[in-house]
Amino acid sequence: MKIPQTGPPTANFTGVNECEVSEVFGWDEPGPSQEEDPGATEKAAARLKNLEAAEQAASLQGPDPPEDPVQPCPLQQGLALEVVVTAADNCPLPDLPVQLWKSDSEVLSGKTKATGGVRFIGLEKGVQYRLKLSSLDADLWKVAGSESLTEDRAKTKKGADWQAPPKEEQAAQIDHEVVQGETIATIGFSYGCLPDTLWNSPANKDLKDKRKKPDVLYPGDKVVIPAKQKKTESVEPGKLYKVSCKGVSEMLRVRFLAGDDKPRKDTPYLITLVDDEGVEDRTGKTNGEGFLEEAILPTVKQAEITVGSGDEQEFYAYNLGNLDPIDTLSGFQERLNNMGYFCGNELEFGPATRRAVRNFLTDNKLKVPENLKDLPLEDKQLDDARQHLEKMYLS
Amino acid sequence: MRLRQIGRCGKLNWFVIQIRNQQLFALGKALEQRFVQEMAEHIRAYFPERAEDLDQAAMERRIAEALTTARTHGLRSKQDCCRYLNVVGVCGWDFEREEKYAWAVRALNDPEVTSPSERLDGVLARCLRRLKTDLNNLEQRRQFGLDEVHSL
Repeated sequence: MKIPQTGPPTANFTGVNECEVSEVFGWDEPGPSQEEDPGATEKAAARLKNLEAAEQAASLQGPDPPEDPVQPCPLQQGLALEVVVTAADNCPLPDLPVQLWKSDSEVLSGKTKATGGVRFIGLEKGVQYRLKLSSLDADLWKVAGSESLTEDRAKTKKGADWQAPPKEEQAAQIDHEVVQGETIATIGFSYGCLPDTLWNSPANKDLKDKRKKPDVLYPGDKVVIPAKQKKTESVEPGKLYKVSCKGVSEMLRVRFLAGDDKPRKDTPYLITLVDDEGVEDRTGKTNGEGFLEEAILPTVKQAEITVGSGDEQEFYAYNLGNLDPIDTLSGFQERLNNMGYFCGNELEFGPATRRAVRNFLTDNKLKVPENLKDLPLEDKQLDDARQHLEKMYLS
Repeated sequence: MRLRQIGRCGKLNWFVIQIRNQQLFALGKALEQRFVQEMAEHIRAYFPERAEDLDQAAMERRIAEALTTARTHGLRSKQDCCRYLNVVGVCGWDFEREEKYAWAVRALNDPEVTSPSERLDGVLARCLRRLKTDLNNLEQRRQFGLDEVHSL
């Protein structure tokens, strides 16, 4: 069955809260698709099973090099320490640099893996080490708990390769120039700062006054990244430490309304989230108010939603973080498009956009300016349309 | 190799074995060849599609090349070498030259991770996660009644 092509969405996209607002694209033209291989699930399961079995086999191999006839000392052993870093909603956070300090001149460096975990080996019993998440601001992370590792996981036969600490970058603030697709949340994520820390920094007051919303920035805007506050936590080997990062994940919210504006509650959906690492599908049902709500990381760039079941399935796609401010032509048009008032592909405030504005004002019982066809976009008579559109969009 | 008596204690004679470097080298070569043969079996068992069209000699040549590359990433132990071959099994013999696996090469050379084994572990964790997500995606789509894979 093909995903049905839809006309203007009967579902109303009423807002994305706490997540950057997005642009609907391709709603009438689903992206390229390929027929599913009938045995695809079995093949995927077999690939996974084979890799897991191959990893199990590899774990039985020795720690000595294949070409070395001299066996390593069997008495050499140490303890391990593991760290798992997750967002507040338990979503694992990959690729975060983690350091373990033995002294001011000896450090082990690692990065969290896809599971959010990182492991340090060859540690000495009874020694206190210091844990540091070097890329994150002190406000952003804390050790939420710890537990002892099982005996198998706690013991290691390799020694630790202590190194001199890397040169600390000068703790200074950075000026970041916004590019299309960025919001305060994505910028905060890439610099390891809380979005609130950035947005409420006195250095960003002018930007905050100008743009009003942290998820609607414009290319060329300047965001000041304050100097990071560093901290370390005392840790001991043989344990697993759970580190929690606050303010990292966001909530994607999309509301689906029926033709009579009643919420489409308990409607099944499949959402496809796309980031640089690939595609992830999730299924669920809209809540009592017709909202689809999914926690996502700021790295997600696109969301495709198939909603409904059987022949009534509809398909929507959103670019996340690409919405321009409402006082720009593109931002005005994107909001109208997302609300179902289509402006065509106009690059100016042309007839299709003016028709969309007229329809929007009429449908919402707002006054339509008599000279709408001649008004410039920035005219005060369109402020009502802008304010109402923004209010509805983010309600 | 020769035995040299270095002492006597009661009825016991004490010997030391002397092994010359050339002998160690020859022994090492033999051990390495045996490991290569073992890894050929490993690839055939777990990644049969990588063994297609390769006879035993070609397979051993491929594995020897892969092990040489593994060493350039600081991977020296049998365990790490075998795990590097697991990455090869998933991504292909020439994955280090393919644009779509540039992330894996970056991860294997990441200066922010001290241990080469940990770098490799990161690559394999991502491979496993991707395979699990792919499988989960297929199941979610089947449950949702979509008999078509939508790709971007």
